[in-house]
Amino acid sequence: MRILKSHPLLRLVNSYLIDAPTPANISYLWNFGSLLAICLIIQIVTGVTLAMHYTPSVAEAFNSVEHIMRDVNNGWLIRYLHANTASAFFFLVYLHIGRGLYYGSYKSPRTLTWIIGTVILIIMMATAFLGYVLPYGQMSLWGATVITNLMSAIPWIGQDIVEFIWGGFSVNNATLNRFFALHFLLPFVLAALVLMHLIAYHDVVGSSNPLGISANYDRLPFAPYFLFKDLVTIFLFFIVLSIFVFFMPNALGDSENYVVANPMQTPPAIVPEWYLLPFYAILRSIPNKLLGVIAMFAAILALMAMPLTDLSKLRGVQFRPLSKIAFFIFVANFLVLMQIGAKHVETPFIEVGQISTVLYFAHFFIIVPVVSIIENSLVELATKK
Amino acid sequence: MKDRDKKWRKIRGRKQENEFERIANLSNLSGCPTPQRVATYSLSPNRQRVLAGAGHAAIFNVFRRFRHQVLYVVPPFVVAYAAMNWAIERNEFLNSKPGRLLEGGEEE
Repeated sequence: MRILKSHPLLRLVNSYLIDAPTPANISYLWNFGSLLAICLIIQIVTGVTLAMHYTPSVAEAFNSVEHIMRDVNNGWLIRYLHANTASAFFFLVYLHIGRGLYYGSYKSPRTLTWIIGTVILIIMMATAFLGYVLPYGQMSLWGATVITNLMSAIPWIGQDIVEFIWGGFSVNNATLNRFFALHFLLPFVLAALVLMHLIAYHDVVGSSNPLGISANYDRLPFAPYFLFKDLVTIFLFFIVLSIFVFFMPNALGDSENYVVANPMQTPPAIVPEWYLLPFYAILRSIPNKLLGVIAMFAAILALMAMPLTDLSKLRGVQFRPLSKIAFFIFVANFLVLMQIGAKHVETPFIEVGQISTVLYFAHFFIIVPVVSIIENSLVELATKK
Repeated sequence: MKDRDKKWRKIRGRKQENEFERIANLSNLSGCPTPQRVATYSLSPNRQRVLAGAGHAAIFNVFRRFRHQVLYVVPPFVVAYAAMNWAIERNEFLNSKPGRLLEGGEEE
């Protein structure tokens, strides 16, 4: 027998990337996983390279990034790749989650995969936030100040926790150092979680498929069919990423972060990167600080409720017209939240944000269960002889 | 069969199955009947017509599929765009001179 099939580790490579029996009917929406793996690899490689010239000190961090941009050979390329791939990573992860919501990928037997995926999202967000602090521009400092201060909403011990995180009485040198350490560590935690994500679904029945039924009647081996199909989107991704990196590398960034951090001057608007805006909007739409913080974390954790709240007997919404409309309302609402997060806290953005927040949570906890019960009943009525 | 494979089978204590059989045996988990066996097909490359009807489908099948989905997808985005557009214009109005006068507040 070939070593590829008998070796304890290579056997896994074989069964995940070569022999994996993959549904023949999966669409291009099943390509995001491989793209996300590519993103993680790019981020780790460019990140480790950047760390070779970066200095995590409040006096030198900003200048060391400018040094990378101007003096280090191809440093500008490495940094722009790192910054823009971070955006691409989130763009693709939202599409990946959207695919999962649309096709019911969270339903049994892939519940564990879904739960691990949600944990991956949370750690990705933490990693991205920590990384954004490192250049120590204005938005780095003030973003870090706002987000770390969220912890002060915890009753009784909040302020102590915040000062513990800071390692002082404001965002300072100790904060920047520990953020650098954690930003270096977490991607490897992510890599481990990604392996768990893969193990979790390969060990049950592998990929789902657009029909939401068993794919056992028609499967193909992963290699060469899906290896090459994945390569199609990988090359497409490289083209789009190159357009960003080479022609508009700062399009998704904030010009305020090219101003060195100044604790004496608050910028006119403190906004996170675009991919965190929906959750920032949910945070700000609730007047009470503690409840706002709880709502923001609940908004991410709500994904974990999907296996419980989707009561439908069918997997996915492709054959359920009411749920399909609900899904696209949810997506449109998510985009509204994303815009609201970047607006000033003024009328009518406050009210629109509050309505959107209610709609966001209603989708998970009211709309999905109610609509799936209605559709179950309609199917039963229609099929009753 | 090599000794190593025999030994491996003995350790695992069951018949060695390929990935297709393994997935088929697990299929009870997904709530569907276990198929007796999984059929795999192959056709000679010389007999395949890889691009059969692709040109026709590129226009007519794409249009048919688009037509059946478009009313699920587009209306929510139209409403969302209209709502944001209204909010932005309303905000700009409220920050303008006539807006402040209308709201009855003092001009800053």
